[in-house]
Amino acid sequence: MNAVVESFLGMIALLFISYMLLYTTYLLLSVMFGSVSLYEQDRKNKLNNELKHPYYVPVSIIVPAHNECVVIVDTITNLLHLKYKLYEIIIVDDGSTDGTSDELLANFPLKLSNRPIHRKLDCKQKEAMYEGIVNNVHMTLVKKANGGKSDALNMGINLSNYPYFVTCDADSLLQEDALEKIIQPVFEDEQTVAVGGMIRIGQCVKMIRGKVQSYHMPWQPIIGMQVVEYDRSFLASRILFDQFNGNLIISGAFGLFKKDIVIAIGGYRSDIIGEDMELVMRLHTFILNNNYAFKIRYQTEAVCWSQAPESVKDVIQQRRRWYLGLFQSLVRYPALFSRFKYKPVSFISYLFYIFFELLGPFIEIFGLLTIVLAYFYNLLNVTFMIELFVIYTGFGILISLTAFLQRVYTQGLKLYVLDIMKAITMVIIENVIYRYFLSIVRVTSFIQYKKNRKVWGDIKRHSRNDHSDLPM
Amino acid sequence: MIMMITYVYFTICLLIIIYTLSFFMYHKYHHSIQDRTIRRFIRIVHNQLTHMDKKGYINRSHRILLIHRLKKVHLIIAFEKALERIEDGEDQIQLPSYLLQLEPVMIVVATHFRKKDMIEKAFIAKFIAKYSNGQWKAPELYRTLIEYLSHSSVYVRENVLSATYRQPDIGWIVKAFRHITEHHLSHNPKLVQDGLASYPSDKEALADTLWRQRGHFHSSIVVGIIGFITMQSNQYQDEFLHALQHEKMDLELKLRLIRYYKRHPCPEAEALLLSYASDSEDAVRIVAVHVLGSYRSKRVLSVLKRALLDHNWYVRRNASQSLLAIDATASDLSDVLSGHDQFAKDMLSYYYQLEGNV
Repeated sequence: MNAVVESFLGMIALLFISYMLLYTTYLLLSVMFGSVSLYEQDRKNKLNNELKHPYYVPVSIIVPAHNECVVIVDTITNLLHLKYKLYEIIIVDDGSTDGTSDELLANFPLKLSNRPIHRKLDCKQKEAMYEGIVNNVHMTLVKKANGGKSDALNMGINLSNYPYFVTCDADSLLQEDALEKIIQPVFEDEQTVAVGGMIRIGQCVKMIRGKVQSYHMPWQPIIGMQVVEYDRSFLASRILFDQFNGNLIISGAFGLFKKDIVIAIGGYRSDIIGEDMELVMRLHTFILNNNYAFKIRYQTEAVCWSQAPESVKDVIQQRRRWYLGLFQSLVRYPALFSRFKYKPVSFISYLFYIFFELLGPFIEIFGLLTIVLAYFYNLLNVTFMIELFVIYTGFGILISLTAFLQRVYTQGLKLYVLDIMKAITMVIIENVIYRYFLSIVRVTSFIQYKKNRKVWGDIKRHSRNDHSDLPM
Repeated sequence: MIMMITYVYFTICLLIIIYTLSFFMYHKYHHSIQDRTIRRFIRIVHNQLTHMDKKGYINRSHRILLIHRLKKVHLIIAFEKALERIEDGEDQIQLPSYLLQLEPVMIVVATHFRKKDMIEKAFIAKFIAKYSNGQWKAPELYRTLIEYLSHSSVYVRENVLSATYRQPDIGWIVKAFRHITEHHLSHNPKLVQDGLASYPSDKEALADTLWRQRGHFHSSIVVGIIGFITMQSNQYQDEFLHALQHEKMDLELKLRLIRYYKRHPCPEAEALLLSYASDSEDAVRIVAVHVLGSYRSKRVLSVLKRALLDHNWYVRRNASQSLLAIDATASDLSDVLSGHDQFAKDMLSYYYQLEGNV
């Protein structure tokens, strides 16, 4: 019996070690690549390599909202102060029950409107529409029956007047130059049809009118760990994938799309949780199937500060949704890999998401269970295991710390010694505990999958700015 | 083996972090060094401005010093910052005549940067665009800049084009556009259009030359040129009409030409625009119906009313807006407002309410 278990464990150990080796190699290469790319960008900025222009193309900002009365006024006030010549804001209240629309109507001069809607994309019927001009920006608020985030985004696209639209979560604040920056790749290459912005954790900054006043690492470990986790994942995947047009995700919190292309592929799908990833994967499939030269880009300088969940319960809820969204999207487009094997988006991006993001948590949990099994059969080389754990975790800590420091430097943020100390602490906890905790959360996401797959992720929000200077 | 490899990775990662931290420290140190260099440049330039006050020209030794120093990229960055600070100060009145005399320096510097990478070339082109003020006219300078355009990045293209737009010789602009086209590159039409608007001399002559040479340019550049002409001149009604009637062209070019007649209405173009309102191409109908909002006649009114029933939503929306623009009265539109087409009714009612007409 022991011999069977021994050979079984030997095989598992080999598999697990190969996986670790592959993952660490990938992390190392991608972080090195990301670092070089960020320094290159920094050099470009210093040497005026930018397309400064007084007027770009007009953009529609779509803000889907469901029970966001706590933050919605902050978000819209922030959007009204963007440095951009021509844009409109469309807020889609997707059946809120907390008075989100009332909050907006109480704070902005909007009037009832009977504007006809061009229903290019399927979505639920409007219940009421309001329009107004605030700060020279055309603002539309539409109330509709609850249909989910995708449905709300489709309604926003139907209402938009301009050729490009930006999606912005109701809890996100854009930096004042975010629109100007996110449109740059379109000016660099007209074949660009989608651009992802850089998402950062909003609890770290104090912002007034789109300007970052101060930056601090938060005290709450649950937020601090998300800060360093975001940094690593952005540096380790988004920047690398951007080099070969291979990003499979543009976060719904901040992304720009060419409207006619999104309409051509049928808009957002409402039968899926990860509507943002699904849309981008469909875009890739559409581009490859038709052999178009369109590009999907990622812009590190277009920054959006998004509110992270502040409780363990909310983190679990959010990550389960993300993981299920990832699963649904990857399963829905296997052709992206099977038909286009020789495209980097397929053999690098798709495989990365399959092995490291989708299967990674299972492999890690399986590895831990195997260790327990080996311990019971007295087959565990404890010294080796501890050494492996220490070096692997140490490597993870260094990678995360590098990503954090580089991001802070390239964003020109001022850090204090206390912030660095906090960052080091967060990075350690994140690598020692949090990542394994997240793996368990992901592995258990499929419980109640059917029940949760179409609902909005309601996360507790906190108002962040005073809005005494509302433009009326 | 896994341990060995992981140790190697660990070491590499440690080196990256040490490099990052050293870079931060170097950057802080570099900041203070750069600030000192900027102050030194300000002092040197101030001395020359005083010298110019007395003698009318800058010292030869100053020119030689600049040629020597500005070949280094960190020094030309510091020099640019010094000029910016002087521009904000009291001595800025003297600055244009000082900059004029820097032309020979910049010829040498631009030639030196020919062998550098795209990022540095883009910087030099931007520097020249910013400080030439239309006064640096030496052919060597622009010849070098146009050489930069071969296999260039979008930033090099934009900055070189900016430099050519800001000098008076149209020939350099034409050469730059041709060079881009010959190297199978393109440039965003909006950037071309707005860049051309910064041309300091005779804009009509510029428009005329570029329109005549359009056959040699990439279509994206031609679209930008038409946009520029639309903003600048009402003299192209016949030219464009002729082109629309007799030339085969891209759809985008055709749409740009049709749009010209919105800003510059022309009775001779009305018949053609009316025919476009029933074109088989959706985009042509959408634009034509929009442009017809600048034309007032019975035929236009009837074509726009018919366009309210078009199968394309954008044609219907533009028709409503155009009807409003030509001041069609409620009685003119009674047949639509009391008709069976719900979309047409909704659209008209909405725009009329917006204007307070209903």
